[in-house]
Amino acid sequence: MSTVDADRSPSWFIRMAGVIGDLSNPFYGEERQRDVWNEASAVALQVLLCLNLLAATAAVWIVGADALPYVYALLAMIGIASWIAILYSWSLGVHVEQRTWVSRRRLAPVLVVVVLLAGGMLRAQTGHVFADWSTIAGMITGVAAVLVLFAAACWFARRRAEASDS
Amino acid sequence: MRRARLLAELTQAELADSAGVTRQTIVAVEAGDYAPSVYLALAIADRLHSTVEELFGQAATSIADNAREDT
Repeated sequence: MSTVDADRSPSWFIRMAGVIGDLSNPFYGEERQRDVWNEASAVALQVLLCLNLLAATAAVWIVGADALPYVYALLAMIGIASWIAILYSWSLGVHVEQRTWVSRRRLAPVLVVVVLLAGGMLRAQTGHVFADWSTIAGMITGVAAVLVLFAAACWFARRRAEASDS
Repeated sequence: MRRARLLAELTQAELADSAGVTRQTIVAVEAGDYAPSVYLALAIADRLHSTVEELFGQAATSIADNAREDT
């Protein structure tokens, strides 16, 4: 049994996610099997995200500027996987962005790695042939754009949730 | 639930088969390690000629009590 409401036709995104995740597999029909596999998948996703972050950080500090394209690729993979998980949850009315769901103790080591990664990227970038003020301005603009998009998505999801609650 | 299953003279495997789940799920439910969905609880109660309240009433009460203590 899926978490998708059988009475409502699922969106293209949910249908596509179902195909990618093979969610119509009979394996998911057994509820405890499904629950345990969901927990295992959550653990695997967290491990994958952490390993990717650590690998990107190590690469940028050890290899330097030559590793930057691969680091960007790793970060893109982290971003895409995380966004798919978040969007899937939002689409089915589960709001993972609520602050109470993330404990500060869990967030602290991740923030340390993120700061190390950002520092390493900046260090590698400034030694890079393309490092000039316009590149740095572009990076800042890019980060700001991502933050604005994220805030807009959160606001839109919250509005949708409030509308469906009322 | 285990008592009800023994009274109904069913093995864990037989109950699992008729409820459409694996034997491990029945083992976990009997051990109190897994809270079944409403659908599975109804299916188990039906196979054991019992009611959900009789089978899981006590567990449900303790879960509600714990939730009340947490708030």
